[in-house]
Amino acid sequence: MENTQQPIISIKNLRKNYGEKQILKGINLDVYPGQVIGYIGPNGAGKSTTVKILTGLISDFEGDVFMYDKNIKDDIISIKSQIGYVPENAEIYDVLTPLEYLDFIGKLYGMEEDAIAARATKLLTAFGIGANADQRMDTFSKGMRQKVLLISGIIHNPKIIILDEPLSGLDANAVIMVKELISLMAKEGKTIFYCSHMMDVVEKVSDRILLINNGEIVANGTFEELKAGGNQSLEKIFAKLTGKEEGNRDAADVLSALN
Amino acid sequence: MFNRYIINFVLLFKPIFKKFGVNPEQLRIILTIKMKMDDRRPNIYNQQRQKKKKEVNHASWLVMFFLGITGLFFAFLLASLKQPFLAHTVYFSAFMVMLAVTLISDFTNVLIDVRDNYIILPRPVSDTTFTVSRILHIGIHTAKMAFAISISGIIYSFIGEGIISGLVFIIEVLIATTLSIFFVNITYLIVLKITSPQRFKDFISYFQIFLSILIFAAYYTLPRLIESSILKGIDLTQARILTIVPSYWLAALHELVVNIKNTPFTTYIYAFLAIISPLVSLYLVVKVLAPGFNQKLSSISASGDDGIIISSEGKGASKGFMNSIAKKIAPHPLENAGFKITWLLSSRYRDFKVKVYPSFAYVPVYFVYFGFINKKGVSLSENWNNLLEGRMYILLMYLTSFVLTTVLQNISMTEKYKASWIFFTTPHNEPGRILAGMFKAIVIKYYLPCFIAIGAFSIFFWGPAVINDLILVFMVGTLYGLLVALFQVKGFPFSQPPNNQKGGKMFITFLIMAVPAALGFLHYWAAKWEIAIWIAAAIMTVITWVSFNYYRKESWENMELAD
Repeated sequence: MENTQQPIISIKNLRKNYGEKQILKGINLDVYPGQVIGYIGPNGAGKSTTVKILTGLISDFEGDVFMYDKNIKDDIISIKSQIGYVPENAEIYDVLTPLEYLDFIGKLYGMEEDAIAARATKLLTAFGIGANADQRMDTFSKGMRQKVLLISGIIHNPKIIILDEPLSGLDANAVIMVKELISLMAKEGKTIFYCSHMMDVVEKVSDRILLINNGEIVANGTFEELKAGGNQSLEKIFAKLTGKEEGNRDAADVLSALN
Repeated sequence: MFNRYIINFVLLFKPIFKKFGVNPEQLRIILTIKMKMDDRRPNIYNQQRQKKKKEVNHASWLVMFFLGITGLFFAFLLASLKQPFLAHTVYFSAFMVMLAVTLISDFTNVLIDVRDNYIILPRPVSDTTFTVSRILHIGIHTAKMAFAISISGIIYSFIGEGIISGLVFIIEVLIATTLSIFFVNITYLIVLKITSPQRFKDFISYFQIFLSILIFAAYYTLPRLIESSILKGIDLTQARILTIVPSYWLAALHELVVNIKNTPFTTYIYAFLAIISPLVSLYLVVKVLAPGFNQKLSSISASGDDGIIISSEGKGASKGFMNSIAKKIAPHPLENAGFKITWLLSSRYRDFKVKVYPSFAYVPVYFVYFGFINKKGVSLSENWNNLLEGRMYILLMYLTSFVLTTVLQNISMTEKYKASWIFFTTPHNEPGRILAGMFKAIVIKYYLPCFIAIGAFSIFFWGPAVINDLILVFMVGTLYGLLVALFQVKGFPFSQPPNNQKGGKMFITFLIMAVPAALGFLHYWAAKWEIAIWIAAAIMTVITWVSFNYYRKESWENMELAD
């Protein structure tokens, strides 16, 4: 289906090398407002590099990335203020309390102290860790840290949200809540860029799925479109397109090694 | 509170920051949070508080307090040495070493903190604001430490030596601080040149160990050195090598300003070097070192290692050495497993090394303290002669048991204790075998080398007649270690969280310590009868062997499982 809207993110011939190694080999992509993009691929395929470029963490790349029609090389600061990012490796200043941490993050986005405090308290309560708002995070479980990380990615109410394995460490209830939250935010017109290895979740939350392998996009479409080839699950599609269809044979090899 | 004043002071230069494209408000926010985190960061000065699992709130002020105390010692040096040239050379040598070592050991982790890349950089913060905040953060931290060390010296200079001397002293402090930063930079660069990013973190651990030893040694020796005539008798004009030391140049600068009429020409040259050296070092840092340094730092960040691959052990020759010893010393499969896991992990867990390795310095420091400088009014050579004639070597030998017991008391603890689930899920029914392997590894890896070194030293100075003493002490030390292992170590190697000591162990610790103390006293008393020592050594060997076999039979009931 052809989208008549203006793309909110437009990637043109994106390339990135690390020394001799080509990580991204010319990616082209348009993302529209209100879409949830599931971005999947095997380890080392180039997912994280793409995300780092979109969030301004990597600036030496070839090609162009436009957000709101602005080239991110021209004005990364104003673009960053419209993005929310939840990184895969849950780095956090854990000697701070959630409120202190969120106050810091909110201020970097230029929010007022009172507004940050009010929103942070509501969000912490909604995520079920309101009672821990004034405890230092070095005693927190992985799930609790992940919740704070998620809140820090949305506290400034961004229009584009980039989530890298956002469900890592969350309990079942929190997973349901975050999945629901993603759908609701998309309905509000926010654009979500969702990276994950959890195929079942990607399958459920994404409007459109992009599969990257060896630095190239090898599949781009809705789940329905992707499974037109006869595959019933995203896992199967993933295995087929990344050349690991023989997954069963690999497992058999492992088993035979034990005998 | 004070942090806010410091930041307000820094932001007085807001117009300049703006001119360079820095966002002053973001700068304030980043500096505020960074300094708050500094105050909560564990460091070597607040270990007691960490042990009690209390929150750390004023860490950087605590560091300043301890540095202030150290600075007070340095100021005593300044006041007690009557030759100002010598006093300033000694003072600024101590100042620069202390500042550089503290910077490396305490602040490197801040410098290579990769979290900023994920927390600050994705936000709308410009590179300039981020870089300036980083430089200012390091600058403020360094200034706080330099101030803490030098404040006593500054006060003394103003009150004791006059206003001019005080003002020159402040300039000396500024130059010394700049040079210290330069030396830290040089150290980083050299280390990064000769080692990998992962090993760089390991190097920092060793530096922390070195700082612990330095503080420990200074605590015992510095007050006595100040009193003694050792320093007072030094004639700097005879020590030509000192002229290449920057603190000598600083002393020359002071001498030139305070005593200009009687200053020889060479002093002018050294004073000139003092003024020019920070400018040259700044140029070298900015133009030559910084570019490559930043690249190297990012490679450390990119390595993202939390310190697993930090030792050469497990590779090539080292692994072969460990394997062949393990095969001979611990042939039983479970003992072999306990031996190897202890050997390997004790080389690789950084928290264990930082805690345990400083104790290795206790032996020489205590020996020097008790043997030499503890006796007032006696010269060093007289002390040494008395030492050779007496039986103090027995004390030296017994001091080695510190190494064994400190390793044992820490062997079951690590921050990564959760990996020990494997001990509890594997189908073995002789946990004592694993502990026996652990004990053997500790004796072979830590106690024996230390004992051989001390043994060689003793035989060299006191003659082969001390061999029977050595055997007896080794057996008593091993028995002491076994008692510690039996009563105080209830976990498998690296299976408990740090500081998991349960209450009520004080009494047991005291009782256990009484055993080697009593045996050592008897040994000292009976040392004149050679044959008695040989017999005692034989008896102690049997007792130690029996005790070890008892320890080898430890059952599951005595094993403590971490939460």
